[in-house]
Amino acid sequence: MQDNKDNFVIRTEGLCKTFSIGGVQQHVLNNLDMEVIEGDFTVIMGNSGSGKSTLLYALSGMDRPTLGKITFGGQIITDLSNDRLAKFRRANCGFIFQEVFLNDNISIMDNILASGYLSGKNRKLVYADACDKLSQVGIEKEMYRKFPSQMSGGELQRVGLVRAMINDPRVIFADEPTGALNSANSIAVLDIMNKMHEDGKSLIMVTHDMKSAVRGNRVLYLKDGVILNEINLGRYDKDSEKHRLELLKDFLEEMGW
Amino acid sequence: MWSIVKSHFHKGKTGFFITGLFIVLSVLMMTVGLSICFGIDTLYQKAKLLSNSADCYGCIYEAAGGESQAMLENLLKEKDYVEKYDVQDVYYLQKEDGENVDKRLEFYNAGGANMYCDSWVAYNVDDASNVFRPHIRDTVEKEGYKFYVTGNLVAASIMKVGDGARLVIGGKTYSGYIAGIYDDMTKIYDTANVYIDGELYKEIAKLSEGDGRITKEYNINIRIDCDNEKKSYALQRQLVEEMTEAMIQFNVDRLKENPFAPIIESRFNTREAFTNGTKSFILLLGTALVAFSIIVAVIVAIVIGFLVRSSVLDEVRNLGVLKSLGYTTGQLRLSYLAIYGVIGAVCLMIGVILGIGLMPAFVNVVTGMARLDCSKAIGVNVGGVFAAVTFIVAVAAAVVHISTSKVKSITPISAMRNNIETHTFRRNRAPLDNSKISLNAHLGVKSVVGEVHRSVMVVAIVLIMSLLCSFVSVVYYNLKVDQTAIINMSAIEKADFYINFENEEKSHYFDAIHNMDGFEGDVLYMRAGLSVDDEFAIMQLFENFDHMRTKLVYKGRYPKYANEVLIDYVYAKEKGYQIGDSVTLHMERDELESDKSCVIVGYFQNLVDYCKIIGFLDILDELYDFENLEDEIYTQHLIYFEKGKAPSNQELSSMLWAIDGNVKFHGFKSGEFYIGSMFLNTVETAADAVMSVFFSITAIVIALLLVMLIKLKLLRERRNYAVYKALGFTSLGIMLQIVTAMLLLGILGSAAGALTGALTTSPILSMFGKYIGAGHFDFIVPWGYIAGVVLFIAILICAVSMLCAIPVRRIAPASLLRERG
Repeated sequence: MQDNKDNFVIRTEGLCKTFSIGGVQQHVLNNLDMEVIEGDFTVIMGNSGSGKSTLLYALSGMDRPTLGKITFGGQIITDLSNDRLAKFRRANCGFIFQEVFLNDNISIMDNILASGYLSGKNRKLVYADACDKLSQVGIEKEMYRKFPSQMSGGELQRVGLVRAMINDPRVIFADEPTGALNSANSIAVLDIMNKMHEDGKSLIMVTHDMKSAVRGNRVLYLKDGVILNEINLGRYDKDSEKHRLELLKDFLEEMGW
Repeated sequence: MWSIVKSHFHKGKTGFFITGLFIVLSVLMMTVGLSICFGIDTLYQKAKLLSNSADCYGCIYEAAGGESQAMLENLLKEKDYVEKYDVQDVYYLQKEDGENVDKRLEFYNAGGANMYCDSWVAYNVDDASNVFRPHIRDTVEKEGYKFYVTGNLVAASIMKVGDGARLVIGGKTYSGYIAGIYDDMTKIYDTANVYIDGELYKEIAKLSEGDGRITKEYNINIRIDCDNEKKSYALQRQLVEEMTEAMIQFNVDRLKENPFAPIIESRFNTREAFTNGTKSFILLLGTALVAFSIIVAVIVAIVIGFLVRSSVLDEVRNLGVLKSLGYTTGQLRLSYLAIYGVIGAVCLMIGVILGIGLMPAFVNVVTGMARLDCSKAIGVNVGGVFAAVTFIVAVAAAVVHISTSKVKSITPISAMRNNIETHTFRRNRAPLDNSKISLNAHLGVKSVVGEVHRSVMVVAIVLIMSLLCSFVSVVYYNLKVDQTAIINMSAIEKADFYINFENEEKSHYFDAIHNMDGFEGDVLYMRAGLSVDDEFAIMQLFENFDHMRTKLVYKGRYPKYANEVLIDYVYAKEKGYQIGDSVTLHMERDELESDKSCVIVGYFQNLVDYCKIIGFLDILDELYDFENLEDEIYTQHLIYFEKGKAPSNQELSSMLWAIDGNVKFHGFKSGEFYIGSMFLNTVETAADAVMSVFFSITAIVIALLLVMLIKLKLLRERRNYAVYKALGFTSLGIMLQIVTAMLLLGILGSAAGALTGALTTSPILSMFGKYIGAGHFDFIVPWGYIAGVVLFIAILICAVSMLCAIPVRRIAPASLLRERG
């Protein structure tokens, strides 16, 4: 896939993001150029404060860069108004967060439908799709009416995955999706993400965790606001996990991790 | 402990600020309302002094210095309760007959409108010796002669200060203008008393010689030495009675000496008429303010309850940790009480200071209804302030105590769980999978059913406010727009005309009226004074009840026979009379006394204390030698025309003038004017004032409530909104969720409140009506107005919610989601 450089879904040119903290300017993203290839499971790694999440939010159109251009699916999203961006996100982006961020005041099914109905598709079909996807991630029907406060962390993250998938977005953005999960739940969530990748979905994941990172086929290393280097791990399969981990470890050591 | 209090304060500034505003509003209204109610008698006393009014006055149709003056002065000198009196010359001017406008006083304005006084009394405003020279206000300076009129004339007509005035005497025109308003409680409703400048007064004095239409008379003003209003009125009545008797005796003595001596007529009046006409409505306004302040206090209680409860639930972890450190439940509850104690103390102080500051403005509104300018008539009543403060403190303390009861169930363990309700089972109301409406609207509905406490609070407050608005709207409609119900309760018949003539021969005038197109009926009518149970009472007597326009009978039936009467409902309740009972009417006149027993066949209502008994004119046959009834000057004819065929005043008077050019009216008023001058003009002003106050306060209360709730919501739900935005919700969509939720609650509350208000207005008024002379209200419910109340509140909620939700636009998903935990 990396061979086909024109088949990108996201491209950035001269991306800069500056925060002013206590009157001091911090350049988090620094003239960053990158491309995300359609169908790739791209992983962004880097030290704390390297700008991983900032880059993820900028790529998804959730945040605006200070300078630079982002082209997403052929559309320059940096020129869009906030409302146009919101509509763009609902059609093209799915999000998985470390803390899931489900609305505590509504049931898990309503959390999914609140996102799904935004697409404007037939509501019955959306509901059926939500049921189907929830079943795929192991959430039983009896749990649909439960509130987030009544579920475990692993269950919640699986619900979060379904919410991210419900509008069949072009790209799924994941910000430390396993950061708050135990090992078993992390594996379950990552397996689902790999399944999405196998189904042709583009994923971009920010993580600190090497076991999570090896699930991707392309790992970018971010340092001082620029992509320092990247490694292509090829498509994931369980049998090669050990080898992939070694490759990634070497790569990260080389990057000064 | 103080650090806990400070922590509460920093976390809920908006809620505290708005609660504080409600407390200020409540204390302010209660302070003012109670001060007015407690100080009503003082108000009249002070208003008397500020306006330099007499307690009673007499108008005697004889030049000053004559025999009658000496006689009356002797009488007054004998009364130890008379503080002072004063006599002034006045001139009584009467327009010439027919088309000649000589002596007519005309007021006119730039728009071409005008009004006439065909007979009027001129007072000298520059008479420095006048002890009762009235308080003059709102003066303007222009070219020409100065005319000063009563506040009532300005309020009840389209004339205003600065408008032109014109007087023609002997073909010469004396032009001037309304130079100001004079305040005199004894003459306020008498538009024919005009103070004029000294120069014109002298000119009139000069012209009066040889002119039979300008009569020199005198006025006698008397001040009673009594600070107690009730006793003062009793003395005023007693004095007026004695002076009337003295004048009758005086005339009798003169006739004995000389059978051809002209009768010296006189009339006397007290300021009690003014009090009677205004007291009920001033008290009503004061009571309304107190009622409103109690309602705002209820709202304060609801808001404090909501805030404290929400705060306790939000602070479970901190409270649990504090408990683990050794704080007791009592100490933690006290911390909440302390914060509201601090807020309450500050707001109570502000409320009282505002009450003191705004008292003159409120009093001015109140006395302005009575056409007086007496902003300094009363100040804040200390008892009222104390009562207001005690009430609010008690309400707030009780609510805080009750609302912090959850603190008891918080343990260090629940602190670890972070939420005492985390593991309780909640119902997923209004699930989205059945949704048929817009997603944002549905999420708005979900927030309504999901946050039950908040929803109940909003519905309760909106319900209370809309109930009040609906109540006020019904009252307003019946006082101002369709006065049928209130006229029915006034005991005043609304004929097309009240008319009689001073001419000796008058049958041809009546014949002419009877032959007019659309003429329906002519009913002889009079008011007479008599005694019932040794108490003076006014009685209304009708020749028949065939044409009654006012539905006088509240319960029972109209009299059919001369020995049947109707009785004032509240008076009957006080005295224990019931339908079917007999009542003995007693009359004393010209040294004759007589009694008549009558059967009560029905009740009427008597909102303006107009009379106590209504019956047939025939009753007088037994009570009083009433020969040649129509010659008595105090009878009137009620003239009725078919609907839509009644002529205007001008048309009727022109027709009568055209008969022989010699008609002399004694009393000529349209029924509408008659009722208006009796009380409706006053209540109309009151209705306007009350309506504006209630709707303004409703708007303020609802707006403040929404500001508080939406600010709190944005604070608590900012993370959820950030996620929504990340998922693709637009700012407008999220704002619509908030507006939908508030609008839904608003419509629910306002519809329930408005409906309840509409249906309960009459029963509630009936419950308290006896204090203003009515026992049964049957007000028309104006459904258009009720719908207007709901619409008003809905629009208000939409506008305020939308404005308050604007900060949603500033919620940046990336920065909020970057914050962990």
